[in-house]
Amino acid sequence: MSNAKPSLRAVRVSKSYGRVIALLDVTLELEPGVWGLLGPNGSGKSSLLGLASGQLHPTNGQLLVCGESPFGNPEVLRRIGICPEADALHEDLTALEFVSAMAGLSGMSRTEARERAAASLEAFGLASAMTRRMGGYSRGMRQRTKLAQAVVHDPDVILLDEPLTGTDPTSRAVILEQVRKRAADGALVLFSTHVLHEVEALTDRMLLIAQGQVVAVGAASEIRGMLDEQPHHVRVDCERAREFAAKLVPSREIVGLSFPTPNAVEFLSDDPEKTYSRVSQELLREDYGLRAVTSPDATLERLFHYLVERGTRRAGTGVDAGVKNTAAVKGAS
Amino acid sequence: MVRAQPSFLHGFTGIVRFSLLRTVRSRRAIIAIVSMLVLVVAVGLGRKMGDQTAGDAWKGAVENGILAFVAYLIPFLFHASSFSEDHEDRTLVYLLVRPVPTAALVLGKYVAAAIASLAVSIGTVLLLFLASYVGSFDLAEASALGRTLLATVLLVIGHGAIASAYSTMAPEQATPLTVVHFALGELLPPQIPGILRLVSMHQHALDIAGIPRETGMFATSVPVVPLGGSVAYILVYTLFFLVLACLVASGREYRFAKS
Repeated sequence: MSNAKPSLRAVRVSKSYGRVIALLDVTLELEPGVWGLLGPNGSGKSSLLGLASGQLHPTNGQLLVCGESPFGNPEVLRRIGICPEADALHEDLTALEFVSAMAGLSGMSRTEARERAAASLEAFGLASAMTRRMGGYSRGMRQRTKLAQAVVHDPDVILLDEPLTGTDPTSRAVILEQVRKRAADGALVLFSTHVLHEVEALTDRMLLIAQGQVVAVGAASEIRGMLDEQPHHVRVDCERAREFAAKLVPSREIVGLSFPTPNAVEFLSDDPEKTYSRVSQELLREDYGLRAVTSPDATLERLFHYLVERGTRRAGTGVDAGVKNTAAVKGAS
Repeated sequence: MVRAQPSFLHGFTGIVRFSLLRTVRSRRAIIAIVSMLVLVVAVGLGRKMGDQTAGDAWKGAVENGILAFVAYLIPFLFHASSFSEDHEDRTLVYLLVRPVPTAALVLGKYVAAAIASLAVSIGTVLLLFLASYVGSFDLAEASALGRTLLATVLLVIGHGAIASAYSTMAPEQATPLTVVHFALGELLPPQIPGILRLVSMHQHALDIAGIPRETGMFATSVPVVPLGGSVAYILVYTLFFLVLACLVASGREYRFAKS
């Protein structure tokens, strides 16, 4: 019986579906605690969780959970709990029946399984609804049921695929509290999302994944820093866009310029603070028929693209070795 | 807390119980029961209103109702969806990530579907027997009933294995593959000449039930297979499909569409 410490280790893991590459040469090592797995839709998050939960096997490389490959390996699977992304439940069953059955399949006797299922559902705030059929549940209740089945057997490695999708604030609070508790008890929790602030409420340790590659690993503050570090777009919609642009272009922080419409100018700036300051000074000085000043790109989506592009640009220069495709990280727990 | 690895039997019985619970609650169970009741009522009415003898009514019910209809529809309803329904609904993931060997998952689902299929099929055979012999029951007919029950049970588990295998190996195409197999591999051979008839479990089930070979070309040219041989053939055929399903499922990935 394997009693290895909870861990997740990927060594040059790639996964492709026919000609579509979902993950490319991913290397990482995670230790107990909560890890945020951030990435835009289609970035490879679900594939990574599928590999970690033994549903998929790598096309290349090796992925180990608690020191062993999880694919078709009951020895490892008993230590894993997963909350899948899909809003799929057995509509004709009650939550208690469903979670009891899952507990039973994890090795518990029928009596113990029922007791543990009831306790798990209660912990997720479903005490009064657990004997009702799941077909009538709200989205938040369904998410909590999925989480209850994922942790009913006290797994060491908990994989959560977008667990907060569609949840109300109450459900969200319950879920986050339970995730924190499990991590405090020594579990490794990998929490996937495409919303930065969701995971910031839970952990400081994050993996950023885009186009099948781990593009960055680090603390939330570092990720925020990267958001500031990338060149920002500042868009000014006004009637005399070209004249306005001519006034600002001599500034050194402005590294690019475009006119998306005849009445709009978009600056690419290395120092957005300075650019905003200069834009407001110029607008106060003269009337350009201003309509709006906006920043279209303070989003994770832009950050992912920036990091992927940066990794690609620096590949071969050695500057980003370890960031482009590979992120070897030890948890700082 | 690291739990002990559950045994194969523990996982298997857990899957059987869970799958049976789902089957009992499903719409398929209602469709199966209603279809069988309609069949029983039709045979009963035919017997009451027509001029058939009880023996003729029973023979017709066995040949056309039980072995050519019940033994196909019921396994199809319960087995063809055993894996594919979970796959389509994306609920299969809950079972795949449990520490249950894939063979226990495949066999557990098969056994659960077989229990439901056999319960409905055996119930239907008994009701059809009563409907055929209503008012003229003779204890001497009990052996005919026994042979029919044996043929039905064997054919239902055999057809169930075929449907379960396709459901496991190709969940998205389970329905057409099962229908084509039933048509070409089971229903067609008893209509063709010579020894080729014996590739079909259906032909063996007809022999076990004691239905004379009156139909099809050169029907009487086929060698007579002893009862034990026919039983063994169906059991081996069943086992072959179950082993195939277990082997294929053990090495494959089940991917799900995004929600």
